[in-house]
Amino acid sequence: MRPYIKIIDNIFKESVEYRLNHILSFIVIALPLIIIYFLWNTIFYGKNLVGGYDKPAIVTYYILAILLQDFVYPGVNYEISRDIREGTLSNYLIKPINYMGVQFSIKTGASIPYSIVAIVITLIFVFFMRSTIVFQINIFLLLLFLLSVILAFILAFLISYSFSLLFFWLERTNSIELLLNAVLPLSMGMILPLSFFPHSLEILLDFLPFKYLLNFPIDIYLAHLKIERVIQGMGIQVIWIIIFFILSLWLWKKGTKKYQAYGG
Amino acid sequence: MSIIKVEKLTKIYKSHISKPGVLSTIKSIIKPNYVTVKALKEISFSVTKGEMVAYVGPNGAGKTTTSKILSGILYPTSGRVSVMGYIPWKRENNYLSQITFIMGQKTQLWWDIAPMETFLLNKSIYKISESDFEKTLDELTTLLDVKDLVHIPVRKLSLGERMKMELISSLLHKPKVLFLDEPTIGLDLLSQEAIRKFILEYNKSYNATIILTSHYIKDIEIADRIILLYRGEIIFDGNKEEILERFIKKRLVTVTFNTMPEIAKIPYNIISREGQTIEVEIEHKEISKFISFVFKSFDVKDVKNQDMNLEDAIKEGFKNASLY
Amino acid sequence: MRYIYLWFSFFKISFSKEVEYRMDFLLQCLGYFLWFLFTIIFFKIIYSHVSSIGGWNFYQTLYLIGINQIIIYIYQGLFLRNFSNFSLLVRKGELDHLLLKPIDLQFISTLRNIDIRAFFLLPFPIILIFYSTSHLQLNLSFSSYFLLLFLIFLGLLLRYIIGFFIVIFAIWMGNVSSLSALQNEFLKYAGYPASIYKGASAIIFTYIIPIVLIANLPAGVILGKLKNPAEMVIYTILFTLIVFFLVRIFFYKAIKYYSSASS
Ligand SMILES: Nc1ncnc2c1ncn2[C@@H]1O[C@H](COP(=O)(O)OP(=O)(O)OP(=O)(O)O)[C@@H](O)[C@H]1O
Ligand SMILES: [Mg+2]
Repeated sequence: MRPYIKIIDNIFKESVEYRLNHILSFIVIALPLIIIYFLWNTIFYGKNLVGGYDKPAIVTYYILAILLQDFVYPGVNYEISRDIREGTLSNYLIKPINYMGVQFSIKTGASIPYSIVAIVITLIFVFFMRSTIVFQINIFLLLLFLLSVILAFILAFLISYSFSLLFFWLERTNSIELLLNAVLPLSMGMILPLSFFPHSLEILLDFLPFKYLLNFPIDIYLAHLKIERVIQGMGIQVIWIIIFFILSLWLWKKGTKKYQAYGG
Repeated sequence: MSIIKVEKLTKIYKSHISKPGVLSTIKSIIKPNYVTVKALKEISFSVTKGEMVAYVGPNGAGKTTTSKILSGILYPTSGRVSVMGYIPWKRENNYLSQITFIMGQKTQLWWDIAPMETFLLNKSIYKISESDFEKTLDELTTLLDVKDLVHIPVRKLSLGERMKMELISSLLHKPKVLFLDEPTIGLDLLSQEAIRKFILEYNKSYNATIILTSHYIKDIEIADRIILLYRGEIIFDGNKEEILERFIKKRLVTVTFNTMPEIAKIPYNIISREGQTIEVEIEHKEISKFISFVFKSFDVKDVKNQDMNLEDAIKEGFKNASLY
Repeated sequence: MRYIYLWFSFFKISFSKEVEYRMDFLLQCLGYFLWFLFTIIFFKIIYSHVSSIGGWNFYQTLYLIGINQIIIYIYQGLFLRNFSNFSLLVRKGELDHLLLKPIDLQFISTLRNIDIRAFFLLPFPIILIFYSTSHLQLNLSFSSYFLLLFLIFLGLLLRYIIGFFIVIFAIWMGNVSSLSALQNEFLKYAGYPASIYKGASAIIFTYIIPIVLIANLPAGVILGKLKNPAEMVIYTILFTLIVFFLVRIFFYKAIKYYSSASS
């Protein structure tokens, strides 16, 4: 365990070298929050319910969606693609350390400064918008929410890790990136809560992993789900985690055989 | 006792003839379209414990490929390799804990933070105890004279300083087998010297086995043994004396006479003449015959055998190989 | 004149690079199309629940989205790549190569990479605009099309300045991974109707962080959504010119800072 913790520490130290960067990410998080708030404020003008959500629920939905996005969006991991393409993967291969563990630590480490910024913004936001936000005081639900976010984080990591391992075979990054970017934003519930979609589409999304990255945890927080649905959903999260875990082990085994260790 | 055994090792690189694009990528998965490069062609050699081997060859000979296979980074196409009894590409933790691979052109150091952080990371990766770590670190930083630099972000270090840090971070776990791929590339003469000395020192004091790849003759000279690789084939394997014997066919002999004889009486290839002194180029095996001949026939003051030059021998070796 | 010639050679290089990767080319085009599509889907679904957002009906919003998307595509085609590469340029020291060239630095560093695939997508927002125009029963004179083009150009210029301004941070901060994210944020939200902002926020997003001026100005003028269009157009022209020169000065200061810091 120790080396992985040290990696988290190093990543954190590295990001402290560039603290000003976090000021920018402050804007990146806060700007959409503000704009989306205004948009929905206007949409709700003279209405109580839109798509089954009331205004506080929708505002809270987007706040959480934007804050969680960075943790649970399984985009292409450029670090991995670079390691494979430029041969820096060799640095890890010659050491008694697990690459998946290394990448997980890096992801975790990189999330720390972001979390700090995100929490600060949330506090500011919550302070100004007390009246239009859902405060969940049910500790049990909060714990379930937290658990599902952690599962979503792990699932997102594994999806992104598996897709990134495809660079053992593919030369250029953009096809995978495109595939992910085409599927994810809508199916995760980043653009709209999934209950806005036609019912048949919603059912399809129940079986795919994407919904469980974002829409599902938030719905837990908003108390939109019955307890059976929560447990069922977490079960699906775990199943997808196992699937992607096995997939990534397999891809790693095949991929390292193919690895060309460029350079030198 | 040989610690590294390589038998009929072959590595064939396959590269796509890459018509770029996803469609052709998909096509080429179904119907592969490859060019192959034979980087290693059934090479065999073995290395005994504590030996320092210089692994020498022109660009593209397959040196890095060999080191990468031996350190477990690459899978070979065929052949058998065993290092300390392990098969490298299985990458067992026990094996990886006893080796290191240093590439002069790549860094494992974290770019934006101090080298010390990388050292600490390696400390926990290799499970080095606190006291061992302190002791080794102190030793290595003293030897390389970089004690004051370990807390400065890597990006602010010079190339030579960075290489020294690279060495330290790769040696903290006191590996028994070292693969060094051009560790002195791009360094100034003094840094090269320092690193050379250091490698030799490490080799002696830990009885470590080292395979050293370099294009610099001075690096090659410190090795006990030289393996010449040419286009994936070993064309020579032996020590310095042997390489000279083998490849330096002709040598220059300088003869100084007390009384100058008639040149025509010397049936050898005379290169130059200056006063009482001549230079003669002679086949290796004829030297003793030549010397006894001049001493018998003329009044000779002095005979000098010109030093054989390792660099020339290696160049000659490659030239010979290129003829086949 | 030399600069126009130079720009054409940038264009030629970019073009021949793209043609080599035909399949990737199509995929990338598709990628650029996605956000456009997502935005339309988003509003389509919203409008199935409400009939108006701040006084904008569905087709008016589509019109706005179309205008914004035209600006986005031209912006992506001409500038975005240069801006996204900028922090790399600084970090890897490639800026040094550009500093050596006897050409205006702002010109070469912001116009070098042209992304022609974005231009190939331009027909889509244009179709969207004609589609919504037909539903809106707009009768536009020739001169109002001319005005529209001018305002789109103005929005584009403004967008360039905002993008460039963001990039200059890169030089000061070294590692700016949030940079491209920030770029995108500005692109995304410019296509929302301006009427969602009220009171202080309206002033901020119109006059200080002028997201509203980029696409809402052209669309608003044509659709008659603005209270005082003439004043806003004049304000935008002045704002754009002044900030353009300020940013240019700022840029050269940053470069000076960069070249004295890295050695
Ligand atoms: N990943 C790869 N894919 C395809 N061919 C490769 C790959 N890596 C190396 N080669 C080829 O294999 C041959 C041996 O390469 P290698 O890197 O082992 O040479 P080297 O002896 O280390 O040369 P140098 O002195 O230039 O470092 C070269 O012809 C090279 O082009
Ligand atoms: Mg090499």
